[in-house]
Amino acid sequence: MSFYYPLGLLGLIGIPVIVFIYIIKSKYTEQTVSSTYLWELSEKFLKRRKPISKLTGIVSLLLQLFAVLIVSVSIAHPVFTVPDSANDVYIILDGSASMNMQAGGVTRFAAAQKRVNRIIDKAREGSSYSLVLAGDTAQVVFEGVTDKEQAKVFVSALSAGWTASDCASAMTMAQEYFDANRSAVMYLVTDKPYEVNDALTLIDVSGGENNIAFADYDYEPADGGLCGTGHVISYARDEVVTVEMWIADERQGAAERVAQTQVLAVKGQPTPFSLPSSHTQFARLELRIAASDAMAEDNLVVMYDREKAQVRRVLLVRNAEDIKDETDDSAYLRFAMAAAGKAEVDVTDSETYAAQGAQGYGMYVFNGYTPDELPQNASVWLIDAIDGADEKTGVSYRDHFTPRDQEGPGSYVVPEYTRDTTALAAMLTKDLVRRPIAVRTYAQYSAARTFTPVLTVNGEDHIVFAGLNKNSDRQVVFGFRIKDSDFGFRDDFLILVHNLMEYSFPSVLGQTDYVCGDTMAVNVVPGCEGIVLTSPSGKSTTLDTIGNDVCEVALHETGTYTLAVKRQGSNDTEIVSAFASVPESESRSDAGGAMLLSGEREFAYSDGFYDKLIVFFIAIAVLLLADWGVYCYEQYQLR
Amino acid sequence: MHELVINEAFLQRLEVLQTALKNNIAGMFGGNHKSKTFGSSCEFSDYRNYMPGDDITKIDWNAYARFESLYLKLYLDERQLHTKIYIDVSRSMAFGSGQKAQTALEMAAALAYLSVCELDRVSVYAVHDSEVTEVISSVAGKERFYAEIGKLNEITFGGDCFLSDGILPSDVGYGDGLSVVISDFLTDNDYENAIDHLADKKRDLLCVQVLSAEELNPKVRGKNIFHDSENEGRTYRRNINKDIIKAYRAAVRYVQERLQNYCAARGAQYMLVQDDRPMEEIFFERLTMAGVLQ
Repeated sequence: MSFYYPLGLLGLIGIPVIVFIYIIKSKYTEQTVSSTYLWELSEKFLKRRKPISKLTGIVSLLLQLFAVLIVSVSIAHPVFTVPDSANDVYIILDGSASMNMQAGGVTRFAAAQKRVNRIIDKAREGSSYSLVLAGDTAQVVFEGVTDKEQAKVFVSALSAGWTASDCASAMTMAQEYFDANRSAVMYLVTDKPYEVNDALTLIDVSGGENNIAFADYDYEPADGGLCGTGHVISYARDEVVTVEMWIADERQGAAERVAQTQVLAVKGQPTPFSLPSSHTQFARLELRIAASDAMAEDNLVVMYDREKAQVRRVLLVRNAEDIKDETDDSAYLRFAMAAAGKAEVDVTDSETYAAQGAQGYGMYVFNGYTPDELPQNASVWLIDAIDGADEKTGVSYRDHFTPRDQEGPGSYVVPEYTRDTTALAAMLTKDLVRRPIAVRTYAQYSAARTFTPVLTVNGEDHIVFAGLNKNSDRQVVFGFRIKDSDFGFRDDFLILVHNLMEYSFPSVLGQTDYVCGDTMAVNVVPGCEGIVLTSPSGKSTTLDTIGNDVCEVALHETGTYTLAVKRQGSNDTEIVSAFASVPESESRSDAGGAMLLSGEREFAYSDGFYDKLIVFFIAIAVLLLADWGVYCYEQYQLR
Repeated sequence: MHELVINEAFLQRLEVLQTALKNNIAGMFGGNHKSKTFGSSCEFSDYRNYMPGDDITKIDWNAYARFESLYLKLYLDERQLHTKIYIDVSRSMAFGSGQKAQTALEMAAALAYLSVCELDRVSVYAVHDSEVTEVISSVAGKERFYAEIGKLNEITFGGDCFLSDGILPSDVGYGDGLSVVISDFLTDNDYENAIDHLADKKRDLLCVQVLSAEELNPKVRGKNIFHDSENEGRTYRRNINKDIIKAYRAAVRYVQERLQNYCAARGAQYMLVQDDRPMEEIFFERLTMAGVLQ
């Protein structure tokens, strides 16, 4: 027998204290009475008592001592060692991508399932089983199941994912379970060499098989053609690896091998390779490792042409009065948009635009002027818009704010860049240096919450923000003229304009290469009727594009994701592809760390005895109450 | 010393009461109690034939004129009695709050006043150890009562008390009134000879047993050593629990009943008085209902 909380036994100190108090209280009290005659005479009327009744004088003492003993022992929580007792079995099963590695046609995950089933089979009857699957998130698959067959059915239904495992959350769950039940037998079934302590039993299902994977791969123009570059890593042993480059002219079309090389991959060391080819254009470029290893999925990486994009046509509308006053600052915008690339910028003035209108542009920039009617099916930038905009803008002008002091630091405000972590905010603030800028005056707007802020004054006034207007077109609002700030001289201005251009001329995907576990941002392009996502396993999902400008998709599978984009008024469906590769940490199986459970485990015992003692404790409490009740009744009779 | 305070209002209320005596009256002439013999009071009782030697002044000449026979006119005889009150002045009567002693003195004073009001003489005696000390001697009349009653305050309670040893040698009189013994009677049988002696002397006898509330219903519990107030060498050592208390109460009942039965067997009257009860209740309810007073 042992105790969970031995300090509880300190309560036993109360026993000698109670005995001491009893002895003190047992001292005879001397007093003088008028006559002892009646007391002496009472002896003749005293009934002979049973011998056991002589104990009644110390019953109270015995009960008190027993109560102290019971309370102390119950606080100490005794644990009784019982041979052949049942256990609570708790299993953490690694469901990361590396568990998909194969050896002899059997994946590590399948081997892990066998080991789990063996644990369940070997457990004593009456044991309970709990299992946590550590995939991209940790989730309790079953808990407290006592039926072995049912538990094994649950286990057989599991499969490994293609992301890194969230072992930290799984360990947190395990620790909570262990804290509540120190009798539990804890297992961690994984292929990684985690460091564990005595409370946790590690079951390693890695078979020592070799795996080869890419690292830091890319392509670049070289010698009038393309050159695929990168590293290959052989994780278990030195191996000669054949690396091939395949190119397809269409994203969905068949690829042909254009280059091949052999490198000696040293165990665990990234070995560089280069695959030059004479091809200058491609729609899809694949790098392949022509070898049979533990995991085939990380022997292929796919890249899509980043430069294939439409030309962006922009109309910049200047304020006619500014032109007359020679205060027009449209040059900043024009140069910045030109620097962003692939933009054809036409310039006109507000009077001409108001008289003739304009069509055929993908984006309209209104600098210091707001049209009576917003153009449709095109992105809109409103710079220092005050009036003239109809209700379609989704923003309403309140006032202009200008600091009172005309000199010194008080004469301007310093806006802050947003810290939002949404996909759109991340896209708009991508690569920004976030240098402070000064704004002398700006317009205060009330805007719908659907707009995403970029620059904000005092956390209240958004002075640069983006979102959908009421035409469901992408809209960017600047609350200040560039000339009223030093923003036009900043590098952040060029970067922000670039990001806003990317936002205003959205391609369905801003990025085509992902790692499993990433979140893919799918842009809802103008005129989009719907987007259907097909995963590498062939599962199709229709994305929710209504009212959204960006849809976020968590990538759980490795391979090529296909997006079918249906545009309004078009019978054709645009096909966009992206590739999700196996996380590098999962290609090697030597990643690990410490997986430690705090606290010591009590081996081979059952807690059932302790639970049954509760009934005993209650009985003692009832006896104590009964004793007290008898005492009260005596006092009542003797009143 | 316990200070006796005379409550005159209470004493005036007592004047409506009088003692109910049973024995033949053998007191002195001039009292307020009617004797069974014929005497010279003004209250007519009966006629009888004249016999030679009778006092001719008692002949009813009106009856002679009517019946031509000589008849003597008889009148009731009225006697003055002597009430003797014996107070146990042992230490047990004054132990603790002294309420028992106070009650004993107040009862003695009230009974004395009652006798004085009935034109009787009153003597109060203190029984201490084996001696009887006369505190108030043959008082008659309210003026003397008021002059003498203060002597009760001079009684000192202490020591032991042997009622029989004290009362038997003393002059208790013969058939001439009421004897009252006021004591806690917490003794084996010391009082029996005294009761027998007083009964033999044809005196009406009232035994008043005064006990304190604590003696009747003790609150003490736990382990105790009791020392007797009258005898330090006499101790009682016990763990007082409910069984002891039950036995104690049985002992109290036994003492009461034994004294009561002994008194009843000898024509005496018995009264138990708890020391915290008011005098009004004792006299106007208890003693009246018991037939001691009427």
